[in-house]
Amino acid sequence: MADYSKGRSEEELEPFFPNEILRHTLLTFFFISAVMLGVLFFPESFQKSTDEFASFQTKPPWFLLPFFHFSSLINNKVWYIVILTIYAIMFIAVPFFDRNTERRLWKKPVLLSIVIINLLMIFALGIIKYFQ
Amino acid sequence: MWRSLNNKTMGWFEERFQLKEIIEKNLTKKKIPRGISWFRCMGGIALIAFLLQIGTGIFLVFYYVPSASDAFNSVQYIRHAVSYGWLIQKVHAVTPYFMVVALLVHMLRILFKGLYQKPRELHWVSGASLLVLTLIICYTGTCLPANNLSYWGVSSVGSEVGMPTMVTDHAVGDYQNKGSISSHGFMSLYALHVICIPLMMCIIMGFHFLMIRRTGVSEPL
Repeated sequence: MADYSKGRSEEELEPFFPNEILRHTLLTFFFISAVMLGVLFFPESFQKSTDEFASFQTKPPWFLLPFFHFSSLINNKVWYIVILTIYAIMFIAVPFFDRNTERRLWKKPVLLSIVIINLLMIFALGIIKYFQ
Repeated sequence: MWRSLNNKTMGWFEERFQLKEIIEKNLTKKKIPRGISWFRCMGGIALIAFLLQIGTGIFLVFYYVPSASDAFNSVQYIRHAVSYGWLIQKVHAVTPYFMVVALLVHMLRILFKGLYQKPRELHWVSGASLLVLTLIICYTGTCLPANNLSYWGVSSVGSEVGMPTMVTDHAVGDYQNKGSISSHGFMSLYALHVICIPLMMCIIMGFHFLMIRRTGVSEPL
């Protein structure tokens, strides 16, 4: 087990209980409050796909919109799966590509550019699908 | 009297489980580096969201019918006939919106601060796998209520994304050919949503927490 007290003075440490536990508890309450507000105010999305609702299209969750839009850009199903799988593997394998000893992303311009381009691309795909 | 009873109860448990040392070591006497930011709690928030989903999901399993003809009606039954069913069902539907925010904040913080570097590569590998699985489980979840959204989901994503499983063949093929999803397709999605993916997530989560326990959280920059 990791021992954080090694090489640190008492001033540099704080007790896990209650400090950290309290932080987590407070944030948990905020989170549950946010979920409850969502329950009360999010628009109803449970409509049956019937003729009378034919023009009604409920949107999927915001975080799936980029994938939905990307799927409409690539017609080949196999290619779509291959691209998504490679993308997921590269995302999971980031620590093995980045062997730079510098930790901060701001000081690694190449990786920073790749990250920003990817974030913008995902954001743009989602926004376009949202307004379609 | 209360104190005596309390001591006796604690003594009884202590004699059998020897928990005092574990609690002291991992909770009451544990020290952590000072100045940990609130953003560090995002992983814990995602865990809370997952547990919330498990809790509400267990309730929904009792009433949801994974078949093409009954899925929509069973969801309506939960929402309108079961006591507090509307609340539990909607919490289950809304929580992923916030869970993904917590996960993304958690991942971006680690990415931008480079906290995945040696010896914590496996923290990132397990965490990123959990994010991918979360997105897949959300996708399967949106298909299950058999509403307009799930129709759109399966027909627009399924036909082209085609999750590389039997789900696509069953779900999408039936959607396109007959205009409605088959019970077989529903069962595949349902099995993925309630058993396969959650089980994988639990195993990877265990691995993630074990790694954090072994190598510890990274030092602040």
